[in-house]
Amino acid sequence: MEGVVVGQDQQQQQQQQQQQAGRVMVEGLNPAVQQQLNLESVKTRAVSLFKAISRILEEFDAIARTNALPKWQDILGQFSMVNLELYNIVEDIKKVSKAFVVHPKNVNAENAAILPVMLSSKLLPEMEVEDNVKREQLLHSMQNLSVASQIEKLKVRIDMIGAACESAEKVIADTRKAYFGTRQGPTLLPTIDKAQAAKIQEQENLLRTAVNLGEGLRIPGDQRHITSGLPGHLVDVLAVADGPQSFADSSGTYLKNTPPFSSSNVNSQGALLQVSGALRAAASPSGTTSFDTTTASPLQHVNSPRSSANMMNTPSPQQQTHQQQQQQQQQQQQQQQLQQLQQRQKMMQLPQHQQQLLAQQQLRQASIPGLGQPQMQFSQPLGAQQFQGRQLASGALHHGMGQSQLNQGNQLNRHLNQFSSPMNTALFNSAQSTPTSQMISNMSAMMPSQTLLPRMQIGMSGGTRNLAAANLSDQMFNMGGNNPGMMSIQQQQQQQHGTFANMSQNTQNLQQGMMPLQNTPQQTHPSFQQQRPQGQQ
Amino acid sequence: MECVVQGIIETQHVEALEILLQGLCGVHKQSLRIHELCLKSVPNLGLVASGIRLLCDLEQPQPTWTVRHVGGPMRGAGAERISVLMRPMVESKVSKNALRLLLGYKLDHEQLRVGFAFHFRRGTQITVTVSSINKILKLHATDEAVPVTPGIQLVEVTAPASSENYAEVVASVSSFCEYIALAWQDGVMAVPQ
Repeated sequence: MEGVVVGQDQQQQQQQQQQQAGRVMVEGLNPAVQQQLNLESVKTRAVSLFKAISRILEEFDAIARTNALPKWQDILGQFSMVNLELYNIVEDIKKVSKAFVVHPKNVNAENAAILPVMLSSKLLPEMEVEDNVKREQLLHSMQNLSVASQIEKLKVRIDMIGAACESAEKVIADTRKAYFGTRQGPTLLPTIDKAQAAKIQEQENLLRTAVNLGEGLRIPGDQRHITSGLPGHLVDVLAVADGPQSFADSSGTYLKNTPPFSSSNVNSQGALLQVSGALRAAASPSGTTSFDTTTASPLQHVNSPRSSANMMNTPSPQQQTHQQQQQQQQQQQQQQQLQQLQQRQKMMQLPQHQQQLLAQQQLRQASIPGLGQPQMQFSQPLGAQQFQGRQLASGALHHGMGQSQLNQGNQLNRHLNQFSSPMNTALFNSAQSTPTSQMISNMSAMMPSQTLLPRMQIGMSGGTRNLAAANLSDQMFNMGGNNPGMMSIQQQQQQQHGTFANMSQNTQNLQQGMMPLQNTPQQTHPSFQQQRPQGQQ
Repeated sequence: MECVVQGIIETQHVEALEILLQGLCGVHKQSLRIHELCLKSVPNLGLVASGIRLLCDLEQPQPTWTVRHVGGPMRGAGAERISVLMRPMVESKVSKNALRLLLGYKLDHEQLRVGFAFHFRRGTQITVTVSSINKILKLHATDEAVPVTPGIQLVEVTAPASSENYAEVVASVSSFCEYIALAWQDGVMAVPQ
């Protein structure tokens, strides 16, 4: 019984205070507690409860042996009686147990064994040993004295140490005052007014961005010429004598040699810089061939100008034919390399998202001369998402929609990437590339090259029509359209951004059908044929 | 990985800070003059932009070059519990030809750091650097560098760490920073009005 154990503890405390040794005290509760709880009666009740429970268990045993049907009503009645009795006993104990007992609530078979260990206040053996050792050291000199005098002596010791600390601090403060007082003539203001604090904060931000990000340290491209002599440590490192091949200056010096060009060309080719180069190189089979046919460029550095030249030469590799590319390449390559370098430098100095915006805007203006067929351009600012979009869209082409939907999808993807999360992008990809029942009926009636407007509308939401989308179709065929159409797309995207969730029900069931569609024979648009291997990657 | 704490100090107090640090660290200062070239990878090279720094120590009789890559700060629940910045950092000594060999990288910006540093051991190897960051106006013209913020210099407390021992490194660095802060405050406040 817990009560009995508790009583024992209390008695032990009393024993210590009286410094009794060897005399066994009779165990009993504190008289005050005894008024509240009659320990004897609790014991009797507990014993009777124990007997009742064991009787019930015996009955169960007998029933099990004889395989008789137990009379559940009786058994439940006995159980409730036992339960009630236990509850009453526990309640009685609880009244007084708050002072000195921990009452475990959930005692069952598995924790009954470990409970005593958990509840004990005795230290672990190692800790106890440490404790004893330290106590021994402390009280070594004082063991012969009484406890009270031991306490006194310890207090005195503590006070002495405290006083020593304080005097040490004082000495340090005094010397510091004296030292700094002699060194610094003008006194420092401990408080700074707000304006000064703001100025300091501003300067701090400037400094931090300069150190960590390089803001404010970048020299614009046109100033990146080595005018004065190089410092000693750089003289033999940078091969200045070779002229424009200096690594740091490659973009800058190239400007001198670049013939004047129209801004639209620059923009169009610069816009393609946004493409993740690796993705583009992997995706376009034509890209690799064009790489081989590159003539020797005046640039020393292999990686940058060449791969970007590829990019420029094959802005929409999936649509262009091999022959076309190779013809145009050699014409345009040199020009484009030079133009692109300058553009890239400008681009690099813009923050990322502005670059994307700029690229998309510039793409609208792009016009690659000499391409007779309707050419779709799309750039992928964020490679992974776009790739996914492309795959889904290419599957949907099976439905006879031709290439324009792919283009549409990717362009809209681009806008999406700009405004929304990847999740929405995926959703939208599936939404606009998988035909709903409405879409199918409309699609079949349309010619691939002319159905951009309605398709896009349907793909996005129920019924918003946008008149400006007529411009879109022009632009998507790269006929040199103008910007307003694209802007409207952007706005449209923003409006419909919130409706994408509605598409999910329609599209999910259709999406599963998408993958096998990629393998079906496509329409014979030559540039689309190129797309397939990439789509199946 | 390294553990970094960055702070600022007004230029007029740099000398006092130097004396304080000398007392706290127990070593003498080392002068610092480092030309730092920050290179960024060209757009088509790889999927992710990356940057590395080339440091040329101009204080030595023969300039020594180091290449350094600094990653983004450690994030997550562990990072939120600590009061310092942990970030991956890889450093290596290189020859002067490193600049020529880094073909895929273009110069993004460069700076010149002039100041002093204390290297000492306090639980872990700690380096305190007080330096003025100077911008180089003309390409590579390190002799004509002007401070980005003339009135303020940068104080950096760094300590190398690995993913196993970073907890103790963090503890040492943060306790040292508090120590400096307290000592500095006492020194400042103790000046008679």
